[in-house]
Amino acid sequence: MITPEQMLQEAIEEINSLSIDELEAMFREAGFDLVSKEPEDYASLPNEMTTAEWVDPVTLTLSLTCKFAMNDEFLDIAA
Amino acid sequence: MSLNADNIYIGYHGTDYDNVESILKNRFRISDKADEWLGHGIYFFTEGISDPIENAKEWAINQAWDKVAKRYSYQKYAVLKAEVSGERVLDLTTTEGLRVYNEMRNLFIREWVEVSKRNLSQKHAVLEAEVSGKRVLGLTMKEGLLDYNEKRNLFIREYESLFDRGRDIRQDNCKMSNLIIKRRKLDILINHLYIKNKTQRILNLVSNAPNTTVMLVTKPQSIKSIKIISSGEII
Repeated sequence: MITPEQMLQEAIEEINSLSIDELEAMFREAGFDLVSKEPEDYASLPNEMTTAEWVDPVTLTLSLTCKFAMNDEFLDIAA
Repeated sequence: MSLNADNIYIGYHGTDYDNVESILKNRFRISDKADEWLGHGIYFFTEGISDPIENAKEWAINQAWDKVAKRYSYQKYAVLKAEVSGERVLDLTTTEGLRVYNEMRNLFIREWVEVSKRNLSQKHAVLEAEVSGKRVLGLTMKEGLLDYNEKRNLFIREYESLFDRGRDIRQDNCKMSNLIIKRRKLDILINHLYIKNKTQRILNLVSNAPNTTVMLVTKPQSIKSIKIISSGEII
């Protein structure tokens, strides 16, 4: 028989050994709600700002700093 | 709880008599609703606060009652006795078991919050990058695009909603038990529970004082024997 205290020690060792990504996967699998990692709220935002407005021909490389805010269309053009 | 030198636990399960043949042949069905008392598994009454055989009989009879149709949905109940073997058992009717359960629960909650904070922080960093990019390019936000504060508030609301008071606490409880069962590979989880009897159901009475002792068996293969010990008509 495993004692409760042994189980607790196992739990502490296991949690300490898991990376934060592994912990996240564990919680998601267990059905725990978590803040979504991806900024998916952006997908539903009004996309009034066009690609042309974002791509500055002089500072194209700088524009890549905004890539997180951009959609696939922008990334295709920038690439 | 009934336990002998071979780590055999005794449990009693009340059910529709018509289910007996199937249970004896195919074993028990796993209870897997989102709000199961102790998590997903097979439920038995066991020795503790009250007579587990009576508990099982009463449960079977109460389960037969169809609230909508106002009649019993089956006419005959059965009580089954099971012998269950388990090496990894957490007994929450003991102070030690309850202490360890709560310490494990606190560990998971702490990490759950940490993961959520990490994700919140990552989303915020992305938002910062976007705003920073706009500044670099000398662009201004157009009407209709949610501004920085609005987006940030969305993230914060998402985070806060995780711990919203309006959520179903029974489901939290079930999730946490399932997590502990899975990570610690528990065979059996035992706890005292409050389960309404017929009168308490009619009056919809709840109580913080448990009135039964329940054993959750997480794997059908832990059940070593099943036999019917009583049956009767539901009047």
